[in-house]
Amino acid sequence: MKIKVAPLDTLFLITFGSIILYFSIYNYWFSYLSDFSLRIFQFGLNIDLILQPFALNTFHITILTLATMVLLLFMSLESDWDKNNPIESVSAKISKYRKKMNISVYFIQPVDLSICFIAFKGRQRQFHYSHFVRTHSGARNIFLCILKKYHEVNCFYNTSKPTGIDNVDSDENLIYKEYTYSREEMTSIIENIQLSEEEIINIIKPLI
Amino acid sequence: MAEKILKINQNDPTVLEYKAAFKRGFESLNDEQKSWF
Repeated sequence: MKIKVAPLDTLFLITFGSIILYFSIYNYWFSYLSDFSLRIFQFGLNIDLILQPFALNTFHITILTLATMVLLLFMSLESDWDKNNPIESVSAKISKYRKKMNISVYFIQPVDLSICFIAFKGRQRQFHYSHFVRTHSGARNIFLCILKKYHEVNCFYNTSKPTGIDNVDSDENLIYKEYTYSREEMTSIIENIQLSEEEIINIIKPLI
Repeated sequence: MAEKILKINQNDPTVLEYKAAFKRGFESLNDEQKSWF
């Protein structure tokens, strides 16, 4: 797998972005200067009306250039995450940060996937159900991979359960439970709860 | 193995949003689907 290197992108952006920014700011101020000089040398001629729109345009170009630069910078920072190869992306991220800091991973297992899916259906920012399937299957797989491969990463196993589901009008509460297992116990538990994407689709199919 | 219930603030915006999302999702189900819960 090839991961894009963020620093190279950033270098490219800074070099070309600063050139564009320099010229746009230069044009912006230059238009005011020329406006001023024309006002001095061409008495009585109302040149402001002609130059004002140009000044505004260059100002807008400056803002747009800045916004594009910020957007591209964020995109280049996000680029080391490959959606199609999550396990390799996680490995790359862990090997990047483990020398600098202690990494802890909290795995929260929903007690009931169908309840979880109802909440997913009702969220304000809507996603296609394939996103739910991919993330719930992938997270279990990735956590197992971390447990087996990276012994220096602290792993925590929690479960979440909303109560009062049988009566929606009652006061529901979210309950989080933390279990302290040994590494081996946790690995065998996570191995048992592995779900493929097809299995998750079969669970949530009646609710789609 | 030890089990511990974590204390979380039930009025936290994230928790409230989860509850609201669940309610909205539940209301979007048809009567047959609702009867399963």
